[in-house]
Amino acid sequence: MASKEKTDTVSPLTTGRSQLIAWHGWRLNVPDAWNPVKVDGDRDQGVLLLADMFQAKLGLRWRRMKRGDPVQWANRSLEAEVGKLAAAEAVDYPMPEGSDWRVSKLYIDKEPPGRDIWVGWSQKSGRVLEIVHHAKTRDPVLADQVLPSVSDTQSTDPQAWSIYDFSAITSAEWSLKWFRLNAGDLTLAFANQRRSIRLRQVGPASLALSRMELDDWIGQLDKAYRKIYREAQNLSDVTLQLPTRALKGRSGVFRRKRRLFWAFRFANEVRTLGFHDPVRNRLLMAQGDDEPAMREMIATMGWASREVEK
Amino acid sequence: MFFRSKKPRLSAEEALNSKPMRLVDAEMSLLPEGGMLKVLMRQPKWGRTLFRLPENSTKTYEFDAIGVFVWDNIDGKTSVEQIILRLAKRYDMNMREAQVPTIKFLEMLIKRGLVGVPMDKKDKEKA
Repeated sequence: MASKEKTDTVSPLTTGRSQLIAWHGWRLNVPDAWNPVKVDGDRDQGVLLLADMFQAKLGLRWRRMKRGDPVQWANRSLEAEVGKLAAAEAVDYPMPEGSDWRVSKLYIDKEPPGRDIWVGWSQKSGRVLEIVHHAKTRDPVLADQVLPSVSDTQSTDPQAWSIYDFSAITSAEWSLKWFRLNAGDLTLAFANQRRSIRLRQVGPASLALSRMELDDWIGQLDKAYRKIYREAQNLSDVTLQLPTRALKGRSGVFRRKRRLFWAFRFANEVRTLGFHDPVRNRLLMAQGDDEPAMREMIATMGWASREVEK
Repeated sequence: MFFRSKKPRLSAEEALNSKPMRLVDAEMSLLPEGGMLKVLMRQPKWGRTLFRLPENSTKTYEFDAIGVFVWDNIDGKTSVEQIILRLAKRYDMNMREAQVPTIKFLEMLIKRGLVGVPMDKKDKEKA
């Protein structure tokens, strides 16, 4: 008789856990198994595609509306996505009180598999947001979980970032310049006029540190930096005070090469801070020319997991 | 080529549900940062006349900790999806962060002939 195989009790579709995605001012709550597979654009216009292990699940598309009536814009976006007849069937979807959505329209496909679409216009940022849910079966996740959690932030407010396992909060003057999302090694680079900061998270730290010491991780400079700055020589111990605990780490200073004394557009020195967070089992690193801002940002890293735990 | 049999292509769902199995009988010796797999080298067909391998010659593959974990879970009974879930749970990783290295690693093992994926008749017919 064939023995029945044991299977894991945890399934990506039944964990019931959720995660926060925060990107360019948007913030929404999605099932834990949905992760970004395509990220593109900036604050004014962009795309974010989430997929589970098998297929695309949710698409976000946003665009800043420069002129015209937001209702017309939203209707036009809906028509472009599902056609005129289907768009006429869309209903007004009531967003939670206190949210600044002037338009909120939801179209649910009657015969799945199909696409459920929500279109909204945010007064806070003046952007139109389209959320497309690829529903294989009749699945209430869009209306029950995703939409009530969708929120927007003004460009003058602190910006929250949360993607994969990386999460941080930056002050309004820092804008995202580029990002590199490798599995287990996530980097987001921010700029504020001529100043720049790169935040990097490597995990699991137990594996990363068995491969390389924290000092070596700090010593790793990107190629572009290596041309301009000398290698760090004196690494020192640093401590970062978090609300509940203190993180111990190392700090290194990279000075501009002497032969580039005339290159004033580059900062004289770049500092790298590296911390080992044993609770989250992650290495947190920041590199840039504004140490107070770096410390502030590192202290906020991991805010999304703390919020989900609450 | 005209006479070359087509390699069967699996959909994402089929690939995740497939149960990879080891094709070599080799022991993994554990190291502090991972492990080492010693595999007996096979004599290539064309090499029997031109070039002969010394008897019992072996090839060594070095695995990191994640590699050892995945290798230990390859038993012909555990599906790729289950391996990913276990890895995510073991190292407290995001599902996608566990999926990418696992699939890349399995692809590499398949390419090197260390691991194979059993195919159903249906899959073969599809190809």
